[in-house]
Order: sequence, then structure tokens, then C-alpha cells
Amino acid sequence: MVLTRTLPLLSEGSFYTTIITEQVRDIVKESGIREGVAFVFYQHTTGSVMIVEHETGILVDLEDLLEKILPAAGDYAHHRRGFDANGAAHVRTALLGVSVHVPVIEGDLGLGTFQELLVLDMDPARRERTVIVQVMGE
Amino acid sequence: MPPPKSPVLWLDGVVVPPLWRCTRAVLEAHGVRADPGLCFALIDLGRELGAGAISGEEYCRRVIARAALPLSSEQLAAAIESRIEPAPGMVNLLDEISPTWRCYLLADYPPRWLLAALSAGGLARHFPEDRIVITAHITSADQPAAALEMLAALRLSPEESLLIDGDPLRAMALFRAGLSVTTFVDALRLRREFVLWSMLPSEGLRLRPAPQDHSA
Repeated sequence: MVLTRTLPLLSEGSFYTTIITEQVRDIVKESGIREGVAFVFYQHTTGSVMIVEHETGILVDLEDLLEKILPAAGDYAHHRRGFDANGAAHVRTALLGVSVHVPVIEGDLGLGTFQELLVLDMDPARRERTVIVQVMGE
Repeated sequence: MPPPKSPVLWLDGVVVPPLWRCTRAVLEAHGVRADPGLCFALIDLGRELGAGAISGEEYCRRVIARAALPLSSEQLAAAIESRIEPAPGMVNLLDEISPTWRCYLLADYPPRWLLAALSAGGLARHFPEDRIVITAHITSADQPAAALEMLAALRLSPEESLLIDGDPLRAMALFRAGLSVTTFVDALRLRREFVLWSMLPSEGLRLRPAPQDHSA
């Protein structure tokens, strides 16, 4: 059995974060799947989905780290095309990845106590973003 | 162990759902499809309202014009008012924490909607007049200076305050200024934050049990 759902998210961009744990949990419950895996996929190239403890200091630390290695205002080859200037977001995304898997155990997400599913949008622009959730199992 | 904190909650997006969501619910009830462009327009109008740049009546007029809504400003205001209710679980959480910790409120609504919000579901008893500050500052660009002014208006020091903010970018700006801040997701998670700040007993800390080894 496979159930696929999309989650539309409004994002302000520029390191805007959204916790989607409960929305994904609802999809798992809707699927009726007891044992399997939930695949959570961010359908864009300037953001990421990750599993973290949701604490503001951790997000500040993450932003600081990314700013050190890939400054948002840096000069990126991507900008030579002249279409946009979000090279930092693209390269950061390539490093962070755009998907996670979570085990589904006894009909629920097998997350640890402090684990949350977090969507991080690093694009400078505000817009609607989409997360695909696919629950597979039996 | 962290020092004791006075919880300072934002009305919009923490104690009650964001105003733009209440407005969107009214629009959808009248058959207006709230696409992302319209939602962002509502968010921007809410910020103008919160910054004191427009009145509640003007907010309604602009929403009506933007969404081609077949309502008068007065009708829209009343409809929004009827949609303002406590965020799920918030009244119970305030009941739990208020006996020990004085809770404060940062509000940027026009008086009419503020009163509607406070009367919704028994919120008023948690926020007497001397624990509310009406702020004309809401944008991230104004933080953290705006937050410090608001705390001063409440006669709270930053050291004794725990700011609870529904806007993740604003929360990060406040954190960078050295304030204690938590980003609101829902009442369940906020309760856990209170436990981690030693403001509530640790029983029930876990949101869910850790999975056990087993065979499917």
C-alpha cells in the first residue's frame, strides 16, 4: 500500500521554517499503514526538509554555520546567468538534501521524543512551497 | 536549571490563530478561493494593521476590495470577530501555568477584535488590563528593539521574560538579541517548552513514547 499526499506551505523565505510533524502524522494515520516508512520530500531546490529538535537556538546555530561556509550574499557562479541571485540557497540545499525517511511503527511516526520534521526555506523570495509525503507499508 | 520566566505571549498566532487565517476562513465561507497571492496579501494587510498604519475598518475595506467580497466593512469585521477563537489547547495550558506564572500578552489588534479575542473561550481571565500591551510594532525589521520597548511597557526585564512568538523569523531575531524566546508551534509543544524551562513539572514531558523493538 502506498499513499501520496502533498502539503502546501506558505513561506516568507530567507530561512523561514515550518514544523510539519503533525501534518505528516495525520497522513500516516489516514493511510492506515501500521508498519512501513514515511518519505517526506521537499519539491524545490532552495530549501530542505530535516529532522531536528525544534529550538530557536539550534536554528540560529544552523543559520550561522551555513552563513560561514556559504554566505547568502556571496558571489556564486549561478548568478552569472542573470536570472536570479539565490546561489547560496541552491548550494546549501545540495548539501542538506531535500528528503527524509521516518519509520512508521504501529501506525505512527517512529520519531524520538525531541525529533521534529522541519521544512527550511532558504530562498530569498516568499512563495508557496510544496512537500510531498509518501507513506509505504502494510 | 534556567531562571524563572514570565511568559509573554503574542496574541496573533499564539493565543489565537493568525488574523489572516481568520480572514481567510471568512473569505472561503463566501466562496472566495484563497490562493497564495491572496494569502500573502492578507498577511501584509495584517502587518500594516499591527504596525498601526491602517485601522481595522481600512483593513476590512482593503480585504473586500482585494477579494471582491460581497460584504460591507462592518459585516466583514463582525464575521472576522466570530472567527477569533483560542488556539487549540491554549486555554487549558494557560489554566495550567497561570496559577504559578504571571502571563503577559502582546496584542496588535484593533480594540474590537482584541476584546473579541479575550472573550473567546475564557482567555480574558488570564490577561487583565495591566498584563496587556498594545504594540504598533510587528515587523521583523523592528525587532528586537520593539520587543524591548514592549517588555518595558509591561515593566518586565528581558532576563525575567520568556517571549513566545509564532513567527519563526521574528523569534530568531529576538534570540539573536539575547532574549529568551521560543517559537510557537502548538500548545502541546509549548507545554513541553515550559517543562524544559522548569516552569511546569516534568511529568508528561514526552510528546510520544519512544518506539520499542518489535517484529511487524
